[in-house]
Amino acid sequence: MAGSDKNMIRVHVLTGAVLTGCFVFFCFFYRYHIWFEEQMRIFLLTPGYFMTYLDKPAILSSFISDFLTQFFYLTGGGAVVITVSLFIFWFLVKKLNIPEGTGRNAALYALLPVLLSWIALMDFEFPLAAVVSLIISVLCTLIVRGIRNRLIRIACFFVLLPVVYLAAGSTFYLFALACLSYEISGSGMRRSLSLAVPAIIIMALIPFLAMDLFHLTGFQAYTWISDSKRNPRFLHFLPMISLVPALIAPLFVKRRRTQAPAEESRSFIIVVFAALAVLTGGVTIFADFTLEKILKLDYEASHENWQKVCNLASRYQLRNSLASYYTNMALGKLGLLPEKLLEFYQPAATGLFIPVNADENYLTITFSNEVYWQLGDANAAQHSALLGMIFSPHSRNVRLMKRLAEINLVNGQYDVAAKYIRILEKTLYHRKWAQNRAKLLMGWKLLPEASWLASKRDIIPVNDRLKLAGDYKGTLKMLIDDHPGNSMAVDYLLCYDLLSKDLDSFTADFRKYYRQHGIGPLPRVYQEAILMQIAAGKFRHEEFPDHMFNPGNIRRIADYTRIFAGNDGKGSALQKDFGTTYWFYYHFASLKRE
Amino acid sequence: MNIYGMRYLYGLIFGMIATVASSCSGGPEKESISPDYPRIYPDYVNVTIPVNIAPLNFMMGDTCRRIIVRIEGKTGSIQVRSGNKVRIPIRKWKKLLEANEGDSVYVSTEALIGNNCVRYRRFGIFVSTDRIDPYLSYRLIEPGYEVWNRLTIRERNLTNFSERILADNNLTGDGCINCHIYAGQDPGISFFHIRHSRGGTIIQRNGIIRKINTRTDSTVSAGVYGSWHPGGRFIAFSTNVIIPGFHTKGDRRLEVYDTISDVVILDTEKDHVISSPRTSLRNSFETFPAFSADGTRLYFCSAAAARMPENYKSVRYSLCSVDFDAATGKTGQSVDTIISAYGTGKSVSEPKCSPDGRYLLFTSFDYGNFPVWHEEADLHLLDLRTMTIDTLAAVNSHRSDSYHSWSSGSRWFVFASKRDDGMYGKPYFAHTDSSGKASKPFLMPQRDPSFYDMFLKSYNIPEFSKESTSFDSRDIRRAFGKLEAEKVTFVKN
Repeated sequence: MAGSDKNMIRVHVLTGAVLTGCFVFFCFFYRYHIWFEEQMRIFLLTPGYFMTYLDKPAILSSFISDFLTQFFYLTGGGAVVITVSLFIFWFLVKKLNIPEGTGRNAALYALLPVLLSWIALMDFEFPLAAVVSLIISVLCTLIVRGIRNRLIRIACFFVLLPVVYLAAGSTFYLFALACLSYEISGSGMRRSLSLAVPAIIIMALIPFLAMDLFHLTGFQAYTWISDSKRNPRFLHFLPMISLVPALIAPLFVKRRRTQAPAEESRSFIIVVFAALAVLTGGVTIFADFTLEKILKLDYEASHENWQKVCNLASRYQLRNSLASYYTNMALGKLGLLPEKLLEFYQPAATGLFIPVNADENYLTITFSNEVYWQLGDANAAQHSALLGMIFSPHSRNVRLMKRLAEINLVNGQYDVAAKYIRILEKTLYHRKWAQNRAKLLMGWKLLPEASWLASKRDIIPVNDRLKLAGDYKGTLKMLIDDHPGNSMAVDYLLCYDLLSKDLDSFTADFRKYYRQHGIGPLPRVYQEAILMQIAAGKFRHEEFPDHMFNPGNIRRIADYTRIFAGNDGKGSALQKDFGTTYWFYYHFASLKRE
Repeated sequence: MNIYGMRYLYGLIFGMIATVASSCSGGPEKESISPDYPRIYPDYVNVTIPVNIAPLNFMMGDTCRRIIVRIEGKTGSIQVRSGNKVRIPIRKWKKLLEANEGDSVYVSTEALIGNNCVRYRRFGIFVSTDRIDPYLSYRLIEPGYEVWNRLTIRERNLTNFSERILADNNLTGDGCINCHIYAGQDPGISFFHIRHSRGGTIIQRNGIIRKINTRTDSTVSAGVYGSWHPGGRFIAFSTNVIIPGFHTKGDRRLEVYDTISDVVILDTEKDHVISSPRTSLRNSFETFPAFSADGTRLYFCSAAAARMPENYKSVRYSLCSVDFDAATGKTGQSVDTIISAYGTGKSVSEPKCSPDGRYLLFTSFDYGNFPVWHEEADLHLLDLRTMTIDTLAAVNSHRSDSYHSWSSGSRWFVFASKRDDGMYGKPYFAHTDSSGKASKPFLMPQRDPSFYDMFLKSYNIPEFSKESTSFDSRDIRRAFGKLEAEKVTFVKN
C-alpha cells in the first residue's frame, strides 16, 4: 500500500474516531443539554412560520437549524444531528482542499474547524445555526469554485455574496475569503487587486446595508449568526477563524513537495496529539457538566420523578442554587422538606424560589415557573412562564407554551389555552400532547386525562388578592389561607423563614399555619428551630407535647450549646457533628456569590 | 359522431366539470344548506367597512377542506376558491368596493367540511363612504406584564398589507419604547418615549427629531401618557409612579396602579414643563390627559388619592376638564367634573375627543386607571353636545376593549381588544354614523388570515395617521445614539 493511501486511511479512521467521540459525548454526556435545547425552541412546518425568519439575516441557516433542533426531542436525535452536521462540514471543508497546494493533508486540516465546532457546541449559547451557516458558506464556495469559466465564476461570486449573507449571516466572510483566495492564488498583483478590492468593499457594504434593512446595530450586522444569539462571543467564531490561516496560506507559501511516508506518519501523530489537546482543553474549559446535572434534575422534575430528583441530588451534592431549587421542590413534593432540608446545600431562600429580574438569564427565568406550578399559584406560574418565553430564543418555545396551555386550562381560560394548543398541534413531536390537551377544551370532566387538572384546581387560589413580584411569603400565605391542606406551601413558608434566619416569623407562621401535628416527632428542622426558640423564650415548652421532640435532639442541643460556648463561637469544632443541624446553619451559614 | 355530436359531448363534459368545480369540488358525499352564517375568522359577518380597506381575508376551521366564496355587490363580483383560507385578490377587491361604495356587498360561502358540502347563509358587508385614515401605528409587545424584550413601533398601511418599523428597541439599547402619539392624526407631528439612560421623549416634526428629557426635579416622573394640543405646540403629559401588582386569581392577571400622579403641560417651543395646581392636587391622582378638538379644554382623569395597593379596588377615576389657554399654555381656575365616578360607580380612563369635537370616547371599567387587563373594560361614547353616554353595545365584548384612537374624519375609531382570547390585544375598527350610532367592529385584516393564530404579540396603542410618517428606525437609532436629551424648565402655572 502506498504511503499516501495508508495516510488517507489513517486520516479517515481519525475522523471517524472524532465523529464517534462527538456522538458519544452528546448522546451520553450532554444529553440533557440537548433535550433542553429542543424545549427552548419551537418549529412549525407552515409557510407563515417560515416568513418569520425573513426578518433577520441567516434566514436559511436559522430555519434549517430550527428544523433540525426538533429532532433533539428523540433519544440520541440531537447527537445524530450534530454528528451528521459536523461530518457534512468536515466533508465539505475537505473538498475545499486547503491548505491548497502546500502539501498538507486537507482531510486532516478539515478536522480542526470540526473540533472547534464541537467545542463551541458545548457552550449553551452557541446555536446549531452557526454550524449550518458554515456548511452553507462552504457549499456555496465549492459551487462557485466548480465553475470552469473564470468570468462566470467571478460573476457568480459577486452575485452570491449578498445571497450567502442573507442565507447564512456573517459566515459569508468565509465564502468570500475562500473564493478570493482561490482566484488570487497564483495571479499577479494587479489582477489580484482588481478582484480583491471591489470584493472587500462589497463585503464590507453588505452588513452595512443590512443594518437598515434588518434593524440591526453595526456590531450585530457584522457578526450576525442567528436571531437566538444577537451578540455572539469570540468563541462562536472560532470554527470559522480556524480556516482563515489555511485559506490565506496558499497566497504566501510556495508549493511544497509531497511528503514522504515517514514524514506523513510523523505529521499524523502530531495532529492526533494536537487534536486530543484541543479537545481536552475545550472540554475542560467549555463543557458545563454542572449545568448538565442541573438539567437532569430539571428533566426528572418535569416528569415528576421526585424520588429520582432526591436521589440524584444526594449523589451530586451540588453547591448551586438551581440544584437546591429542584432538590427542595422534590423534597417538598415528597413531604420531606423540613426533614432533609439541611442535608443539602441551601443558599438561603434563593434555593426555594428563583428571582425573576433583569440580572437573570433566560435559563433561570425558564425554570422559575416550576415551583409556583407545583405549589398551586397558577397566576405566578403564568407570569414566570410568559417572561421565560419572552426571553427565550425567538421569544417562543415549546416547553413554556405547553406550561401556558396547562395553566390556562387550569384557570378556565380556554380561548388562550386553545391558541397555544393550536400552535403546538403544528409541531412534529408535541402534536400528540396538544391533541390530548385539546380534548380537555371540550369537556375535561369526562376524561381520565383530566385528573391532573382536577388536582391542580383543588389548590389554586380561590380569593383574589394583589401582590408584588417577588413577594414569596405573600404567595405562600395566600395559598395556605385558601387551602390550609396545602402542606407543600406550609413547608415552603416555614423553611423560607428558617433559611432567612427569621425565627420570629417562623414562630408566628408555625403557630398560625402548621396543622400536621401527628403522633410522631416533628420534622427535624422544625424541632431544631423550636428548641432554639424555646431556649430563647419565644415558644413555651408546654405548647409541644414531649412526643414531638426526638429525645436525642434535646441532648444534642445541650451538647451543641456547650461546645459552641467552649470554643468562643467557632464553627470548626461543631461542623463534624452538627454541620447539618439548623443550629449550625443559623450561626454559621453565610451567603456567598456562586 | 358528427361535429354537433362532438360539441354536445364536449359541452356535457365541460358542464359537468364546471358544475363540480363550482360546487365543493373533491367529491362531497352530501350537500346541505345551513341556516347559519359561516363561522369564519376573523368575524367579518355583517360588519361595516371603509371603502379603502385592504381585503378582508378570512379562514374557516381546520376541518374545512375547501371553500368557494362569492362576494357580489350591485356592481361586480369576485369568486375565490381555496383551501380553508380565503385570500381575496387586492385589485379585484378594491374595484368591487369602489363600485359598491355606500352599499352592501354580499358574501356567499360554500365549504367542504369532511365530505359534506355546506352552503351557508349569505352575509353582508356594508361599504361605507367614510374613508378611514390609511395608516395605523402601534407597538408590538408580548403580553408579558411589566417586562419586555423585543419591542417595535410599526406603521401599517391599511389599504394593503404593507408594514414598516418606525422604532425598534434593538437599536435603542433594548430600552422600553412606548406611546407613539400623533397630533390630530398628522404624521408630521408625533412623539414617543424611549426609557433608557440615553433615552427621552422623541418629538418629531416633519421628520426632524428632538430628544427631550421631560423629567424635572419638581415633577413626579418624566412624561408618561400624553396628548398633543391640536396646535402642535403643547403636549399634556401625566407624570406617574406606576406599580405593577399581580392578581392571584386565575381570571385576572395584572393590575397597574399609580401611587402618585399629576398632569403637566410640555411647551415644546420654550421647553417648559408647566404645572398647574388644578391638575396636580396633592390629594388626587390625575392622569390620562386629552385636549379637546379645538384645544380650548383639557380633559383628564382624576381620583381621590388613596394608600396603594391596599385600596386599589376603591380608586375610581372621574372624567374632569379644565380650560386651556393655547397662547400661554396655562390651564384655567376651575375644574369641571364631566363624568363622576361617584355617580357611575365606574372608573374612566383614556379619554379621546373626536376630531370634529362632537364626541369623547373613553374606557369605562370597575376601578383603577389601567384597563388593559380588566375584562369588564368597555368603550363608551360621550356626546359632548347632549352629554349623553352611549355604552356601545355593538362594539364592546366580554373582554377588555381599550386603547382607542379616532380617524381624522371622526367616523372611524380603532381600539385594542382582547376579545379573542383574553391575552393578546388586536386592533379592531368601528364605524360611527352621523348620529353617533356605532356598528359592529372588524379586526384589522392580514394577508394570511391565520396570522393572528400564530402571532404571540399584542397590538398596543393603535393610532391613526392621514399619511405615512417621514421617519423610521434609522432616524431613531441616530437620535438615540447622537442626540443629547434636551432639558426642560419647570414652571408653575
